[in-house]
Amino acid sequence: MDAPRYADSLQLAERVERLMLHLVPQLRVPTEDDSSSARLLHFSLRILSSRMASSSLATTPQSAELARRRLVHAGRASDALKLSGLLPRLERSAHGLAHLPALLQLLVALMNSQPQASLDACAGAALLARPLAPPPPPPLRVDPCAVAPPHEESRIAPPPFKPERTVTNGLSEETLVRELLFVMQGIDGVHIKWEGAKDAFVVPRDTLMPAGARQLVGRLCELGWLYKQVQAYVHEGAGAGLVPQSFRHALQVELTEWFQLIAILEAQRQSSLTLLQLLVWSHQPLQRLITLVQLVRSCGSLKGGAMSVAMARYERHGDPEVAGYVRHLLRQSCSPLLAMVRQWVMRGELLDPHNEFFIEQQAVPLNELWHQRYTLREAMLPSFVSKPLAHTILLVGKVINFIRLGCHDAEWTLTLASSSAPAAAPRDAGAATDRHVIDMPTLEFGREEEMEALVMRASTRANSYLLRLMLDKYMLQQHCLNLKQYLLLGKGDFVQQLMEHLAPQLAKRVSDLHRHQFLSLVESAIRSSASSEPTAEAEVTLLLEHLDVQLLKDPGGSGWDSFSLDYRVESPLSTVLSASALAEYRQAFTFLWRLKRVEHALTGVWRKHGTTARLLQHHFQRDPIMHGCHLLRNEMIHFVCNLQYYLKFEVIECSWDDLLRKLSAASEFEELLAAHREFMAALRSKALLGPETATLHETLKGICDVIVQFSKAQDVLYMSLLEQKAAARQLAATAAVNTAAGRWGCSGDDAAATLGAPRLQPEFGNQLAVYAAKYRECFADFFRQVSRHALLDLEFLSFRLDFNLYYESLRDVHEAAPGST
Amino acid sequence: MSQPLASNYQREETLDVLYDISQLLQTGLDREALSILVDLTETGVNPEALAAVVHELRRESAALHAASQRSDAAPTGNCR
Repeated sequence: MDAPRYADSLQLAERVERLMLHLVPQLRVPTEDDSSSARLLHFSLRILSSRMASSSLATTPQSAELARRRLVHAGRASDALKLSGLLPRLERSAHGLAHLPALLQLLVALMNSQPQASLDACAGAALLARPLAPPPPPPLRVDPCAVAPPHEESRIAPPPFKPERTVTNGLSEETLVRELLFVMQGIDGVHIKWEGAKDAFVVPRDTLMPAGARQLVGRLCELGWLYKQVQAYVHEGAGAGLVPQSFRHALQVELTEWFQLIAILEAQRQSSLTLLQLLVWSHQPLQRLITLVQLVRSCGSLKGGAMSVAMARYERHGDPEVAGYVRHLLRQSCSPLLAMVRQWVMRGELLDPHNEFFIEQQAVPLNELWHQRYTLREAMLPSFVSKPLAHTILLVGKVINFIRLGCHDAEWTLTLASSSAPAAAPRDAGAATDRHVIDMPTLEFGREEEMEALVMRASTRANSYLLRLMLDKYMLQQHCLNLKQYLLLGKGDFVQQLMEHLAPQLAKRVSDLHRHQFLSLVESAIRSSASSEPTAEAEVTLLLEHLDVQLLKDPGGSGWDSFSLDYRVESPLSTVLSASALAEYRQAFTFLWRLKRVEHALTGVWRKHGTTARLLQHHFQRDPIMHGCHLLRNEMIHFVCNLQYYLKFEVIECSWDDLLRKLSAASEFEELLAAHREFMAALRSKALLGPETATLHETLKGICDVIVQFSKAQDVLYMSLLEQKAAARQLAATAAVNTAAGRWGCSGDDAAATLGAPRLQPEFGNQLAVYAAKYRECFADFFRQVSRHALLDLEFLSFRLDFNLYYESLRDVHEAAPGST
Repeated sequence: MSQPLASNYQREETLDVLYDISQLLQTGLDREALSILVDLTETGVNPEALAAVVHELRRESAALHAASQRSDAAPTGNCR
């Protein structure tokens, strides 16, 4: 060894000793034997010399980078920034230091190696048995508030209360902490055990421990109880359903975080963990667990929307942290519901194996699809869907299903690309995928307005498509027109033709009538009344496909009462023109047909009068009975014509105009249905077909019967008159022949009676008087009812019937009469 | 010192910066220890070895501390 090297090593030894004395202050105190310090010095020097050549030297940037990375990893990014600021300063000021890189490397190597306040754990360990590795920095993101970085904590926290850590006072704190960590996982410890009877973790009374520690343990045991509650819900399996399932998953994630916390605490326990620290660090998780247990309790065995409502109640918690936490859980739990909403709104599919959705499907035949197949399940209405929105959602899916199943358009899919897009849509594949993305937006909890917008958009799309389908493909308007023209007798020439064709048949008894005869007669009436335009042929074909004849099986009545036209429609039209609506059409037809028949009979009588009047003009010019007939007939014709006018123009045409306007203005299928419903309702109430005008209708029926009887009597009268006339003529001819032959013109007693003017038998006069009285009585009754009816439209009718107040004056006289007697 | 610093003042300033860094890195060294370590590195010792020495000395100190406490707590124990 040469001198300088020797001097160097001497200097080295001296400095190492200084370091040793500084770091191990106990050695400064002179003790009886100096061997330990000598041994330590020797040992240190040996380390220094042994490793001197073994490792390479890091450069300054390398060390700095390593330090920075460690700092960032420990979550102290701001410190890393500070370090970056300090390094240039160091390099500027320390140009005198030759071994700056080595120095930095040293500092980095000593990183996070604070001397622990109590290192008892290592006390017994042999010297150099294991290098003291720095404890791994705990992952802070698990629970930033609950777990402070242990090293900082231990620096700040006062040394744990030592007197309790002795065995003499019963269980040591260390044991208790270890037990508690087990309890927090719901596992029995050696001393702290679960007691089913008390429903709690308890420390047996006879266990020796300080009172303070016992209290702390009691508080911490709550964690175990709470954990057990949550755990039980996660594993029990009651309340099957997608929402409970996803809630359980969310809970499981929470429990996993809880386990992470326990793992960190366990790692911390290896160095030091006191009961107080445990209590403080588990405060935040305790609050969360309490919230979880509350949620679990309130959910119970609920599922679906009801469960989300139960959970949403806690979302209104005053503590924003709890509210946020609940919202987080709610978001996860509700995702299946939102997926169902999306599936329903976009595809019309119900994927609800556990009956959790707020829309349910009923097992009804397809033709009742619109009205009954899908219903709202109000108990399952989730917290984030208001009732009007739920109805809209229900409607959207219903429309989609109606298009698919009712309108036989299974290919159709709802696309939500904006309406301006179609022109530019099929450009390339990229655009197609873009559209796909737009088509299926994912719904997220907490973005109600987005969901509402999606629902509204889907609703508009589906409805407009359905409207186009109904009005264009299924020609709803044409069918309505057909109904009006044929069942409501809107087409006069057809009605005239039909009346003439059918009259001979309808006079027969019901039992003698056959449907097929009527069918051919109806068809010929249609064809003869159809216009000659080329488009008419298609209309006639359409009409013939749907128009039908119905014969009511009323064995007593005549054909007039039982005959009715009928209209047949298939799905989807049957949703609008439902069976009940068609029944009402038939009812209206029967009523109008009866009036038509009465009118027909009256005009028949009038025609006969026209032909007979000329023949008999000399005889009945001033006959009071015939005059009475004319008056009564004219009264009847006035009544029937005005009633028909009222029905046709005031009722049917006005309502029809309304219907047309609404059909063209409709933007939703439901509006279409409503328009037709309103049309039917107007028809029912104004045309005296409803239940509230039943008595009026009955009276009308009575009037019609009287008129028909009167017409028949008139027929008979005219027939007898004509027969008398013919007989007289024949008699006159015979007389003329006899006279020419030179004999008596007439022979026999009765000749004188028949030879003169044809005579009216007196029973005709009586009959007329009966009919007139009956008719006037019925009419007065009808008029009274009409003029006093609440319905405004009947005012028009009464005005029309009594335009010169004649009937009113009659009524006044009639009413005054009983009062005066 | 083999390479004396330009002045005391400059040395103090350098130590200040080093001390700050040492605090940032939580090495647990005080100024005195840092100063000794600076001197030691200036002699050219391997920094890793030096770090090991510091660890060992600390461990020893802790062990001694614990031992003294134990002997305080139970004076009739193993002191005899």
